[in-house]
Amino acid sequence: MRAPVAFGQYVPADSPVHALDARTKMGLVAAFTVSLFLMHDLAGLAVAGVLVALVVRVSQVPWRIALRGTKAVTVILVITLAAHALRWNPATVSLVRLGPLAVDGPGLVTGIFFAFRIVLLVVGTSLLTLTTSPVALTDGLETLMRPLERLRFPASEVAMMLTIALRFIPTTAQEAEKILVAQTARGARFDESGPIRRAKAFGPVLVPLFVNLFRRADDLATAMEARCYRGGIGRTRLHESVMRSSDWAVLCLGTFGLIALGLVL
Amino acid sequence: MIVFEDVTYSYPAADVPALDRVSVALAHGSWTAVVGANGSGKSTLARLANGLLLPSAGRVLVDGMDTADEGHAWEVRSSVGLVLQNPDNQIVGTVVEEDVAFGPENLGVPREELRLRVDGALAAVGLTGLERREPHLLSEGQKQRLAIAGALAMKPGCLVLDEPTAMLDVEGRGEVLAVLAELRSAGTAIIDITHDLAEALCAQRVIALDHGRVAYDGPVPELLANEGVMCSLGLEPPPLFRLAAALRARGFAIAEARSAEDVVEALWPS
Ligand SMILES: Nc1ncnc2c1ncn2[C@@H]1O[C@H](COP(=O)(O)OP(=O)(O)OP(=O)(O)O)[C@@H](O)[C@H]1O
Ligand SMILES: [Mg+2]
Repeated sequence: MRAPVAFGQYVPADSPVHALDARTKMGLVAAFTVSLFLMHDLAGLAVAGVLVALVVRVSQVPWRIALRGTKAVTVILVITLAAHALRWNPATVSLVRLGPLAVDGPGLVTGIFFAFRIVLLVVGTSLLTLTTSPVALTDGLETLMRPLERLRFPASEVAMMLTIALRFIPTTAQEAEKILVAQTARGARFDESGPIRRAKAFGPVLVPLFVNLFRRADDLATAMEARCYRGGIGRTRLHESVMRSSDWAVLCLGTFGLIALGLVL
Repeated sequence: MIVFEDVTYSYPAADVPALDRVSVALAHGSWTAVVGANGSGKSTLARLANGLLLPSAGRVLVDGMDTADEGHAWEVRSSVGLVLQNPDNQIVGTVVEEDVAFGPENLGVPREELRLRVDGALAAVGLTGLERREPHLLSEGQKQRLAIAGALAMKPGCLVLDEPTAMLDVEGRGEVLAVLAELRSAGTAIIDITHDLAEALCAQRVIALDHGRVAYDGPVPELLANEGVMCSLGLEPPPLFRLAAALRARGFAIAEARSAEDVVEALWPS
């Protein structure tokens, strides 16, 4: 039996960062992103880096996990560095030469600047999902989208969809697990090499999984109708996420500080 | 109180009606079992009871309200709770208490009362303390009790359960039936659709459907004793009942065989 499918990247902990409202964190991430793009030299990024490091420490998220997101952008980082630093047969002086290929000093600095900015962006934004539970994120999104309802945007329905998706991800994963075992028992092999063979092997898993999903959807629609679901109209909520005064304080000061930092550095 | 008055229902594009001129009345505080072969119209009956389906002919009255009357649609659905077979497919919330709150949230119940209703419903099904648990971490029996709590939070006078124990093990089934017995004594009408005649013995009354028609409507032991009807419906009496009948044939005096205790008591009076 394989290990159960891990879901989401939320790292539960009892930290001041976790305690902030999802909307506060979303606002700060937005301000942080703007601030990063306002900065134009490595000194500014270094300050931002120290800030990110501080937040990671306070939030008790292990470094290994906080940096995990950068793995996905390794290729982009390498290309960024190479595009800025490498020159073909340059006329100017260069740091290192390898035949016609040369590493350009100022180019390398620019490359590092851009690459570092990407790393900070990835780590900074992933802190949001690492320290906020998916449920809190959806609730936050719903209240943020609510003003859009005036423009006929179905905010409440979109939030409902996200909630249902969250609700059924573990159930579907458990089911996939079961089907996988059942098909293995029937002699299906999932350890074959080659992408096409592997994809083919997963057909017998995906087909029953999807058939069941449609059946579930049917039942779920019946159950929701039976429980008087009629869209967002007149719906109340058991938990309404509230912005406490500390949230407002952190959001206002944080946004102001970050933008100022971006403008100064 | 749910009253079916000469109700016929045909699915669109079906040539035979799924329910054919059905008339039954289901009173408050009663426990009714509905039995019948696959495709005999049991689930259709359940969906007609709370207005998810509307009769093609005849009418369904819930506490005097016609389910076809759009103005009463939400009242009807909240006074007739529906619980389905597969507990996984009817749980909407990401945590237990959110799911229980789903129905009353849709009705626009204010927050303070939501809290009371959620706590009350969870207490009624014995899930107090699991408010923040994620549904996929519950046992099947707990999931089905959660589904019942979701219906209870709307304060229904009647619960319709469409094969609620079909996917549960013995333990889970026992838990669910205990909750239902509890609810009935508190005055909720229970309509339990089942393939298990031993489960039907919990009810005072059983309605047997055959090709959309009511083939039997009366006390459970009489249905079990009526071999002609049992045979024509393709129903098998529960093993305990067959054992009691065999013992009776050998001269043992066994009056009732609702549970194993009844039989033991008759054989070895304490
Ligand atoms: N959505 C549908 N469209 C068309 N026909 C349907 C639909 N649902 C059910 N039927 C038909 O209506 C009849 C009654 O179905 P129903 O689901 O009420 O039976 P049931 O007694 O609940 O059966 P089971 O024991 O299998 O749950 C069957 O003949 C079935 O094929
Ligand atoms: Mg059915």
